[in-house]
Amino acid sequence: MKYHYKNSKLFLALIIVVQFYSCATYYQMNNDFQSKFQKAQFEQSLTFLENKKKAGKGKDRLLYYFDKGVVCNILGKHHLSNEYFTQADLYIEDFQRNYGYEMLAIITNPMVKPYKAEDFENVMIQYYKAKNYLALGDYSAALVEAKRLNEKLNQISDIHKKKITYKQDAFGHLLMGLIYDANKDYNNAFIAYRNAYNVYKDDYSKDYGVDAPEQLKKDILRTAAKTGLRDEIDFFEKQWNTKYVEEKHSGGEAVLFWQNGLGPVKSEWSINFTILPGQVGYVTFVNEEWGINLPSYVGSADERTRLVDLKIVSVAIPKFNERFSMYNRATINLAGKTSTFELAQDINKIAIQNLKDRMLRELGVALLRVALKQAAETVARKNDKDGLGVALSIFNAITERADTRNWQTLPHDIFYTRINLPTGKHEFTVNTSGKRGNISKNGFVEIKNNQTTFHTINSVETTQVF
Amino acid sequence: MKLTKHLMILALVIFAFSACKTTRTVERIDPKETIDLSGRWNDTDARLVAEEMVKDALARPWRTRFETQNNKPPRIIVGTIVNRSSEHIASETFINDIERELLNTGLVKLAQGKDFREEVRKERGDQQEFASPETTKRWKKELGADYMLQGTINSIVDQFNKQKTVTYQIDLKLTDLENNDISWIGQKKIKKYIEN
Repeated sequence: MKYHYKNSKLFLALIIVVQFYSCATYYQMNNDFQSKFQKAQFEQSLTFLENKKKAGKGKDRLLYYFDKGVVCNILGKHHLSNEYFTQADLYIEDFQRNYGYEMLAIITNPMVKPYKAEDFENVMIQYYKAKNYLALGDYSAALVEAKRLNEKLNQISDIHKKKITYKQDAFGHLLMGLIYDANKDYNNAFIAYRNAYNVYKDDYSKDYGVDAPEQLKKDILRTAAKTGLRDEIDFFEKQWNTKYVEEKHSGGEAVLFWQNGLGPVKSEWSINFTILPGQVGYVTFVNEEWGINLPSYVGSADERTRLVDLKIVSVAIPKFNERFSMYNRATINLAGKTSTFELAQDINKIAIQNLKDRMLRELGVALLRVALKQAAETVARKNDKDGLGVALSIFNAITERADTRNWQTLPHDIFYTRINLPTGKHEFTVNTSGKRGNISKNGFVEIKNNQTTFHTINSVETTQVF
Repeated sequence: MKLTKHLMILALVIFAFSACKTTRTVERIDPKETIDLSGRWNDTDARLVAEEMVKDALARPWRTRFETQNNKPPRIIVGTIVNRSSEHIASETFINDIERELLNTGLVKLAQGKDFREEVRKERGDQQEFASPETTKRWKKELGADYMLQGTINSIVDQFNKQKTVTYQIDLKLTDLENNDISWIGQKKIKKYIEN
């Protein structure tokens, strides 16, 4: 009777756990929002998010701030967009590790921990904030974002070891250059542009297939000339086999961003490991198909025996699924001029490579988690607690999840171009083309005398995901 | 029973640890205290360079020669300090440090630089329209500077694996605004060794 009562309590607890835990990925859990956003139904997306205010207080609040910030930016609600991105920025800056969550994650899965952004996502906050300020004509505030961006880029390059591909962000430096340029601080603009060029040349071209845009080279020469850096002009003229010719510009400048498609989303996959005895205090997790041998310290001989008895464990690890863009090229016609957008940032490739670089660390953490859970289960069974053993087995299976969260409203790529225009209002047509055909979008920019106007064109069209 | 007890203890431990976070502490320190964290250009660099180079500049013969010839101290305006390094250095604060050092010696006069001069002139223009005649400041009463101080900041980085040396070279020049003569050239190097 007593045993039966204990089992009933256990299984009642299990039912609660089943209710609490979902098998869906983060993307699938947010399908209602994603389906609207991917169809460019931005007003409906914003309404949906506004009805989910609770998400702004939970462990995924950072992603909520990101999504709301992006949607408001696209809708031209720049003040509101910046409110959310500022909250995101401060949340990351003030983030403090909570050991309770860390322990809970070890016995369940990493999704229970509050989400903290990837480095490249952190950099994108300044992109959106700066764009918002520039759209509002607040160039000084955009400059503050450039300085915050500089601090973040320094931090990233300081802390990353050699094995991580993403050590520097060329687009971050390029963005800083554009902001300094708009503020007529040509010295700092030159430094930022030159830093961007070096990262494109040394890292981006081989790691992500993104070369330095031609516009960047022109801007390097122009800002070097404005700063009086004749030797720098000579250096780059030789390197690029070109001659700098000062262009007489009247009116103002337009810098246009084309945000193409949508970035990848995470799903999870399982990988099986055989557990083999290793050196004293160690076991080795082996997967021959993937060529992985991962030694793991377990401590006592008893613990090691227990794990080796298990023979095989299955772990869940995250992977990225690309959302392929409909278009891969865009040109813009305005005021009788045509300009082709150039690729400046491939967020899709950065995200995917970032996760690949972390794979070994993710595996190590996942294996430890699974091993601990399985060992507890084995102990329960051996102590003749079949009910508890089965319950633990179900609990372990349900809670074994990879962290499938990421910023899913980022674009697949960012392209840009710069055009000199007469003062006044100009209508434009952007022609985007790709394997699935062409499409045109219209809009307008307002150019002020001797000022730089920033504008973004969005093409969120993407292939459908799971 | 033993396992249930273990699980309960684990739950209690998790609950207890959920209140434990890494904490942030803030400590106020003397701005003159030297603290090098990242190895990049910092406030100590700007302060040391400004102090040493101004001291060197004012100890050279051009100043006493000017005073003898003109019977007054020279008036200096600080112009542009061009940053040729790969770091974003706050040259405005460095210029402020130089101006403060120059003025505090009492040996030279300092003219307002171009960044703030426009605002001063705008205020003067405003006074012509709105201030009382006895308090209105007049046009064409600015005293022209005798010398202009300009300079460059450059850096050379040498890096291998986890070791890096960064050498900053600051070059300043004092130019006679009347005849374009360079009256003084100063140079200071700061070298840092950084190991990760």
